Amino acid sequence: MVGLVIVAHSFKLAEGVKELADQMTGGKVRVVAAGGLDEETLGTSVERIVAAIDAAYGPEGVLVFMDLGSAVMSAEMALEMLPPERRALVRLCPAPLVEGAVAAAVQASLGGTLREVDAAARRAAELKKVEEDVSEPPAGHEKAEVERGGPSEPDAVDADSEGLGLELVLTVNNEHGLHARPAALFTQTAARFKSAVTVRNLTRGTPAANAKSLIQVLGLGVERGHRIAVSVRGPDQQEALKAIADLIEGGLG
Amino acid sequence: MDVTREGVFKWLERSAQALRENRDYLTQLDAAIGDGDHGANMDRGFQAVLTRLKEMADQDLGTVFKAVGMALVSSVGGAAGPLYGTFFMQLGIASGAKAALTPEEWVDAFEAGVKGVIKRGKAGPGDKTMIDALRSAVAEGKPLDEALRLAAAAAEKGMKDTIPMVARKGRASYLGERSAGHQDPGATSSYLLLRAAAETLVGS
Repeated sequence: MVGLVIVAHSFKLAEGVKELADQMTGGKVRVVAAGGLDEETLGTSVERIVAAIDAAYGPEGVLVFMDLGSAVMSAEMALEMLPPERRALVRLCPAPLVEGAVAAAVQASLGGTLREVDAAARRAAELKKVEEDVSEPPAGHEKAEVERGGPSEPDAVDADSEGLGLELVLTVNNEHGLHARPAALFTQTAARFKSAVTVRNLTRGTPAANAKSLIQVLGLGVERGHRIAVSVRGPDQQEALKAIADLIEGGLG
Repeated sequence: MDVTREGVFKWLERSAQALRENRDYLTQLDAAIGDGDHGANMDRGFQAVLTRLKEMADQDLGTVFKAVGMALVSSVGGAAGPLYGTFFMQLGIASGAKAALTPEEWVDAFEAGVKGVIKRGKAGPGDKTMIDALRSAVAEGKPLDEALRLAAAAAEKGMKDTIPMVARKGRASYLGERSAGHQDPGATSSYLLLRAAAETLVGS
């Protein structure tokens, strides 16, 4: 499993990002914090970063996240100090620290390669944290909705006449909505299938998000009682939709 | 007139002293256009260097300079850590197993150090950084003691030349035009190191 290193000027910041990432994966992924010069002094230390990379290292490699300016230079120096065979398996990720590390932790926990984990983190940069305008949902988004019947029957209906995909509307009823662990469980379930899976929050009128991207799913802001539309398209779409429906109706773990 | 281990130790000790004396001054310069920690960072870094030097009495110059670089990258904290750390590590690579450097070897090593800083910080002349002091100090084809004095004078000019510049690198670059009118703290600490070199590096 890919390991992660969090480089930040503040000890507490690095530990806090580690805490968030660990929460998403239940501690399954090695996330090592390299923050501050020590617990009190702000700064970055090449020595601490090298030690953190060693602690996070495994055959799948290590992805390194950084906060501001000199964190990048220090991480670059740390990389140069590694033995060449190790250096080849360590990457510096340009993604935003918090979003990137959280998305990477989930992708790593799903068994992603270094390249896949890096890509998941970079996609986190595209997340729109604040919707510019939520008053007008995208036109026509209601038309393919099909209300779900019984709890576990595969009752999905073709979303269009050519059978290109399936869509299902579900109500999220667990206490915290699609947040933290439930969201991670949701993306992990979606990621098990080859089919493309997207999800919209109908209650908020959001555009479609990639259901396999934790950060995008979190960005939907799905709370208890919200209705979501899950769309699937691909060779195993039936199975994917059923698995997601079962997960939502089972209260997301 | 070579650069000996004794001269290098004196240079580093004098540098540590100068950085301690100018700690508040560097911090004031940095507070105006940066995050206000350059004085404390450089002082802490060179105190760590002094500690490391105690184990270096019998070592060749390559080992000494590399140890100085490592001490800085692990104790300075801000951008100056990797930048000065790279400078001294490049000096170390260029010095190899030698116990003393000829003037030509010193100039080559110094240039390698400055090139390392430029590469690490991706900064060039005129960006309002330590490069403006360090680069002004390179390549003076004179006897070493005179060359070091000229280098320190050139670095002082380079440092003062940063005052009207608009920062294009580091935290000060967030200020844009408002960074003009302030002397760059990194160029100032670089000048202090070169002034210390002129005072100590070749036997007096």
